[in-house]
Amino acid sequence: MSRQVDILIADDHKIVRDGIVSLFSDDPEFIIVAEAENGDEVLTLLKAYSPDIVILDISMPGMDGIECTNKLKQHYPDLPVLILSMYHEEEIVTEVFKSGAAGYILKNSGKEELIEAINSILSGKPFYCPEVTQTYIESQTQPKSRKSALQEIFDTLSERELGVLHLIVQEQTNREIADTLFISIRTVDAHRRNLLNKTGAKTTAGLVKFALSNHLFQED
Amino acid sequence: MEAAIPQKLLVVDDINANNLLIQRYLIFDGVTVDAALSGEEALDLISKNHYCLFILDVMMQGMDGFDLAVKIREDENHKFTPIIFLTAVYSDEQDVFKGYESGAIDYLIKPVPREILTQKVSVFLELDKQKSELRFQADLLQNVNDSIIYTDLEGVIKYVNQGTEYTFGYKPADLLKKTLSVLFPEQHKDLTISELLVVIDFRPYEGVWEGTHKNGHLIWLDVKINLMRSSDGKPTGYIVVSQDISDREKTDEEIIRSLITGEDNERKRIASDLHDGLGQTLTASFFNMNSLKSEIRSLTPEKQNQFSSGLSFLNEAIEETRNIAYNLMPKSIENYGIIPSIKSLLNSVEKETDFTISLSENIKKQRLSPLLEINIYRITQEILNNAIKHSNAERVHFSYQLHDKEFIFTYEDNGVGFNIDKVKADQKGEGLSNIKNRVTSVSGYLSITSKVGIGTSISIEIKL
Repeated sequence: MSRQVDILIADDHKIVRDGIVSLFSDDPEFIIVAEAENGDEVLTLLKAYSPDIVILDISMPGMDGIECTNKLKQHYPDLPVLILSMYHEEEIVTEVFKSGAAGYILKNSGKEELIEAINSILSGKPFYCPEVTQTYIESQTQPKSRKSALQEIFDTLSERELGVLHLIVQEQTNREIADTLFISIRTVDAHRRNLLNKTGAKTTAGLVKFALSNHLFQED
Repeated sequence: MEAAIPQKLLVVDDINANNLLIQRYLIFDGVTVDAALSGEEALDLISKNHYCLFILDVMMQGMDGFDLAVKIREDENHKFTPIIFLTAVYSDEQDVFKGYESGAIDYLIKPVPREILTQKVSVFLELDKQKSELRFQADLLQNVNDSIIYTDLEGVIKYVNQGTEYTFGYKPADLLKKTLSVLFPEQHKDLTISELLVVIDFRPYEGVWEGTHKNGHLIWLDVKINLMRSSDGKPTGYIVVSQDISDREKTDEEIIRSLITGEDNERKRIASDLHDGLGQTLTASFFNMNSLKSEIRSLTPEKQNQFSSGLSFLNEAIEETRNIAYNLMPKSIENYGIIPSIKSLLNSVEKETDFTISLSENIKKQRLSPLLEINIYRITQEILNNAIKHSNAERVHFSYQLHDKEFIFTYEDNGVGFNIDKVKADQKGEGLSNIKNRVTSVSGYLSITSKVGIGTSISIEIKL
């Protein structure tokens, strides 16, 4: 299989772009047809070049890699994007997945992985390196089952807040609660205000009503 | 305190000899005895002097003693000045003036024995002296800029000095009969003074509090509270002295804020140097080295190994540079806000430690000010570091709640706890003081409670 793959790369550091070029220097089927310093340049260069794939760094001054991917998906929906970044933090990974990039590998991936990614993407299969996949899975594994509104409120209450609420229901004063829980009065009050916010109650009496009408802390 | 205020008294009799006699009788240190021969002359003197006692002959030509007394009472400065009437005979006449008032009035029958006169007068002079001392102290109370408030045991305000208006903007009448909670922010209304007082076991309290000015602004106060007792030792109320230290606090805050912001900017600079300089150079070397991979088969197995380990060292160096740069200044805070960054942080710590970490937040993707975001992140980091090093906890909980006008952070763990005073005394609490400084730099309120064997709990309130 000796087809030619035209690649456009974007990275704000020339030294890195040169590195990528050198990486492909022994593989004549991969040609770097154009180099950009940021997303804006990518869009300009695409008016003159028709690469098979675009390799983008994420953090670049001006238009960054994620914004650029979003733009490319709008204007060149068939042009695949491979993200090549140093980062794989959860929030970045999530953004990249949302942007519709076909692949995401880290800059410390080897040459083999880079070539594997390009080939996989060009054959229509997305390619994400293991670290990125792992991060994405973890970010998605927060329970999302449907719950009643009460259950949701209940879930947002911390153990300590429930403890404070319990003592409020028992008509303890802030000071008594502080003594019982070995925390400062100020902290008790912070918990109480958080409870008000979370339950939507307006007053301490409202909190007690909330607890009683929802049968919290009933002992039997 | 000895108020060295000279005292003056006035004797009025239309017979000059009587006046001279009394003047000879009444010789006290620091006391001047003026004399007048008629009501008119007396009134003239009264309008020009301040007298602490009048001795009036009742039977006088023209204006008699009682008429004069009525006029004296009309004078603002002498409304309550004691009067001794001298009468020739005991009669019902004295009832005429009794109708006007009680107290501060006395009657002596002429001729008055010297001892009785001096005794009476010295009692009145002593009373006057005490009154002026009280007045002097009251003036002091009124004229300081600090707020001085007296409340009963329920915290109901009974006395307010002028300085309170200076400090809180309220006039005394605005505050009397209200409770002290008027002066503290809405959310602390439950923290009544009595509750505070019980907590401090009836020892005098001194602390820095937030107060609310009448115009709604928050002010920082240095508050001293003392229990007042009646002479039989029963608690009667509280004296609350508040000094506005907002300016001082603000200056302190600004200094700390600029130090911290400077430090953060420096970190940011180093992080971006690492990322854009070292990181990129390492990455480029890695790519370049990688391009040789196909050639290495021609090398001896030993050389091939050396090449591979060189490459994996390079790889580690890239990863480490990335981590150092990220820890110095997580780019994600700037880009995605506080919660995603904190989630990343908590996730990575949970992986590396035995902690079960839970997070509760209602901020979602909302953005706070950059200063607040970086400080909340750093405080979280600092607390985590301390927890990892010292707490031995199984469960730690972080909560970030955004309310209408404030942000509340709480932290709890079930670790071994620590003795805050001891940590402070041993000057070991670097982590603690970092947290305190960061909280100060965003004008927040920090409360840390820790109980050995029970765990640690931290709350931070920051006005938005």
